[in-house]
Amino acid sequence: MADKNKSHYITAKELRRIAKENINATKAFEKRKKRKNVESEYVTQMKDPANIVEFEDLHTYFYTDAGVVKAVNGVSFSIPAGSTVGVVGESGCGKSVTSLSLMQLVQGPTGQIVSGSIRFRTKAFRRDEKGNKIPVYEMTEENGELVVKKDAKGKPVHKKNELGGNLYETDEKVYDIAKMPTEAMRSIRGREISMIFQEPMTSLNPVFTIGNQLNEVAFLHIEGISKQDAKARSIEMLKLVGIADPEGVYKKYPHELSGGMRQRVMIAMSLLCNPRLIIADEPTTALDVTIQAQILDLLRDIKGKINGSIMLITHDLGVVAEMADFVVVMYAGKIIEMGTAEDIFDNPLHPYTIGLQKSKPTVDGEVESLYCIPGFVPNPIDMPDYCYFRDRCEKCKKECAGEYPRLVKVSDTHSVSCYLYKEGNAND
Amino acid sequence: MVKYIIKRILLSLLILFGVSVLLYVLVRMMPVDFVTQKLVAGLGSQGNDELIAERKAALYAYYGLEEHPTLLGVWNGYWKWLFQFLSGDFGTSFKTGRPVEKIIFDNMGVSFVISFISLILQLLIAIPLGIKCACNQYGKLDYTATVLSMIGISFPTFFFGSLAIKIFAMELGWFPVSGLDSGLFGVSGWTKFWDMAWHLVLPMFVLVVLNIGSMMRYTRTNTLEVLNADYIRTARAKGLSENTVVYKHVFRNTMIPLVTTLAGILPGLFGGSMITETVFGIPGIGKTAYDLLNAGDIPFIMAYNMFIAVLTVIGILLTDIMYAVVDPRVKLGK
Repeated sequence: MADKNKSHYITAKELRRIAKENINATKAFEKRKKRKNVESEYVTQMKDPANIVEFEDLHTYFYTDAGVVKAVNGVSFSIPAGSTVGVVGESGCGKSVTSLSLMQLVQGPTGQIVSGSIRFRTKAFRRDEKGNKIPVYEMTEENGELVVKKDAKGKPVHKKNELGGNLYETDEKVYDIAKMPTEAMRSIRGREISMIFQEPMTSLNPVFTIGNQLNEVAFLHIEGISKQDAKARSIEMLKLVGIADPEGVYKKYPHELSGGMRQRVMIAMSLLCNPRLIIADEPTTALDVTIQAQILDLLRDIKGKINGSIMLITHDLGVVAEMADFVVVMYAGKIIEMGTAEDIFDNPLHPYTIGLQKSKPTVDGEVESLYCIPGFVPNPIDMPDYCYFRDRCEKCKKECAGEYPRLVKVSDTHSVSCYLYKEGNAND
Repeated sequence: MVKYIIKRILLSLLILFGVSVLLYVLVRMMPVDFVTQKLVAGLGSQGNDELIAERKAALYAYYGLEEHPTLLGVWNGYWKWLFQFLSGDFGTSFKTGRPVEKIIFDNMGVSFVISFISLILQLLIAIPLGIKCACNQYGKLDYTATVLSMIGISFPTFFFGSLAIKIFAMELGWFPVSGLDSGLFGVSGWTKFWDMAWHLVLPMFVLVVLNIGSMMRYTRTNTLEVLNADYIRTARAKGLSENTVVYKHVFRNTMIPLVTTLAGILPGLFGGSMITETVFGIPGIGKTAYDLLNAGDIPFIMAYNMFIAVLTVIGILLTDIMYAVVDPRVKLGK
């Protein structure tokens, strides 16, 4: 679209071309999600064994009627085991879509993971030639020989795992979630990665009781669990997230609870199977400030208890400062700066990060009016090929007219994507 | 709950009273009344004018009608009808001379069978199809079903009925043209049963095809709305299979607005389908009502419509109770 005045107008011909291209593109992706028995295609290796998740050059696009929206456009970062990684950015910068890609929950057929990889270290079930899971049985000694223990009906007795479910043989494997079919992804969702959503008011099904919705997860992922055990586990989780009357809440419907309570229920649900990674997608945005603090305390508490990692998505810098070990700053579908929390907060480099810091309201010091970054995010359908922040940047230089700046490492932990900085040099 | 239902029933009585007033006034205001029709049919337009006038006056007096209805006449007529109705005397049909309730109950059976079976078929086809279409939005099945259901919705009953008769009865000869039985005598019960079933296939087919469209579209729209809800994303995030997501989490929520359609089912089941029965010449309650309505048979029209009104009121009450059953957020009371 060379003519700038016409940039929002799409002719009927173009509309038809876009619709046709979209159908062809999404069909191929949908087909790829329905493949069967292709484990070899998505098994990979971690670049750094200390990580639990590695995003590499992830592209997630939305094929809309107005054109392709590159919501996530080449994102690479990793989540080390046992840490909290905060993803910050303004609304629409692609942070939620990044997390949804990790769960393969991007709403299809419009939204698709187009390329790149998301490597996740998983405890994968070992399967026999028929594709069934291989159970582990209790052994007893009989006449000096080790044999499988049998119950009264002659069925072999399953060995139990730490959650009270049947134990199966597992392997530590690394899967590339971007290439996995949906069917295989289901055993990771809820069991190893669980998600807490932004809107607690609408995230629970209104027609089922809290207990029903919690037990569902237990029945699904803790195989062979009895009804009483599932209920006990659900109530234990409700207790863990600080609900005063877990038995009462267990029997209630979502509409009978407040927003904060519902978010606690969501957290309880996400903890049910001891996941390795919890994705918290703006968990406190819809809650008032006092409840926000409680929920954040709860999340921090829980991270210590389950020994997992948290991917915390938020636009609230205060929340990130309080919670995160590592921070990733996103802008218009790309990472513009990342580093440890100290790097980002004590020594922000990218003009956008500096602007974000300045636009944060503070308690001390009198400020006439809050700082506001000038200008707007560029149109996502028609991204320029220079730095996306150039038109809003105060420190714009001559080089900025060139192609999009690479991510440069200014120190071991800190990288930034801006022409103002060079490799290994943070003081410019 | 009990208090709520009692309150609703008392309110329904008030509604029924209003309905009966409106009905009676409307029926009395019809341009052609029973007496005029009877005279035209019996005497024709020839004859002694004086004699005709005399006979006319006698007939009007006999049936308690007036040639030119006056307010007082309608007023008196209404109260007379109401007291008779409340005392359990539903009146005697002008045309057939039989008690009205006998006519209704005698003809209801076949109409009920037709409506009931086609309703079950409708539900069995429309709801799963609607859900399937929503799950594959803009797919081949969705487009096909949408086009077909739109055709179904747009066809008038008499047209589609006649078309079905033309194709399946006259051209192909698979089914009989009209009627309820072939007039077989001295055959066993089963033969009679199959004969009747054979006669009912076409009317049921027409009813199902014409009514399936709206219900399927309704299901599809509701399912689509629910599929985009946040709690469905939560259900997927738990790792549930697509079938569990759709048939447990989506379906229960789709049911809530679908319950509304229940209100129309009850009168539909017992009231018969006027046009379909007339087109296929089936002696059900619908065809009888159509014939007697044309004849201006006031006692029958009043009783039949009151019957439908009572069923509608009960249907709506049942719908409201069902809401509370399906949706835990709805509390009846006050």
